[in-house]
Amino acid sequence: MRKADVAETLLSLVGSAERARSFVGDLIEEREQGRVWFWRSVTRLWLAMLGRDLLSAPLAMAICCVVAWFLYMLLSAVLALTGYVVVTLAWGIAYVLNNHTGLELFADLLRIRFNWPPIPDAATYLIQAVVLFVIAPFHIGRSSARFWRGHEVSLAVMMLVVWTGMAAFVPVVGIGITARPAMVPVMVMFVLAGALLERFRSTPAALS
Amino acid sequence: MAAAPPLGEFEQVVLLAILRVGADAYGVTIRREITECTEREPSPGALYTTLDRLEEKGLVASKYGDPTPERGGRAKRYFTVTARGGQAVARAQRAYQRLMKGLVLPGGARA
Repeated sequence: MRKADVAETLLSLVGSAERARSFVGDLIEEREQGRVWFWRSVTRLWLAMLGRDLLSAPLAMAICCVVAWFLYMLLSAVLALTGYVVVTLAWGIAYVLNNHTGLELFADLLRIRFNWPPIPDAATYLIQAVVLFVIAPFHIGRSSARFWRGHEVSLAVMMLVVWTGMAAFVPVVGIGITARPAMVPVMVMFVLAGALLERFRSTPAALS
Repeated sequence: MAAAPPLGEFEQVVLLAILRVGADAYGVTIRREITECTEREPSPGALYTTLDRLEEKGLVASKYGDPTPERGGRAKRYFTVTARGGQAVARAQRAYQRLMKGLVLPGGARA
């Protein structure tokens, strides 16, 4: 990817793609100013556009982040429960197959009574961590990109602020794991990753 | 029509530069005009955010031209000053002129 395309992609994340294209076109016309000037201009405009974007509708964006937090909690609960059930079943079936002879298995099946072992704590923590910090934020990011197209970065910045507050006062309580404010940057990173994937999946030209 | 909003100094500079350049007013030409007339070079970031702000206020309008090869196939964004923008800049300039009228500046120069 050439520097102009990278610059255009970065700018299109904080404003309209058409404006980003024309701005980068202007910078290309003044290419004699040099590489440092080019990137300094892109950086300054990017920051200015991000600031304007954040201030253009801060209340609507904050409300969206609060709604996204509760959707995130719901999604986390559903995914974590599903993951827990799947792993428990897999663990139990593996245990039974490993510790029962064919006859015992048949007898247990008839009585519907298995010596079902609990899954290890480490597996519980792993499921929760992956769901809470990776999968659920990633899906929230993908969904939010459909509603806030061209505002992905400002939404992520706002989310960082709002979700830190939400994590402090309304923590996600899982089976042994709580989403602490210190973990919010990791979650928001995956929200942004999901949003960017959705953005570039729907407009592959932006990356070409 | 609502009264034209007050303008900052750089907003006035940008509006006047667009008026001076005329039909070919886009980012590069506006920046060059400002540099030539004011002897200070605005950063493209400052210029573009000001142009966006002026457009939101309804003081300038923009439209995209055709993509050109020397710009890597990217279109120019042309700006024109709206009637409201013209009124705003005229009002701001008249205010400056009234303030300056009859003044004797330090060093003896007359306004």
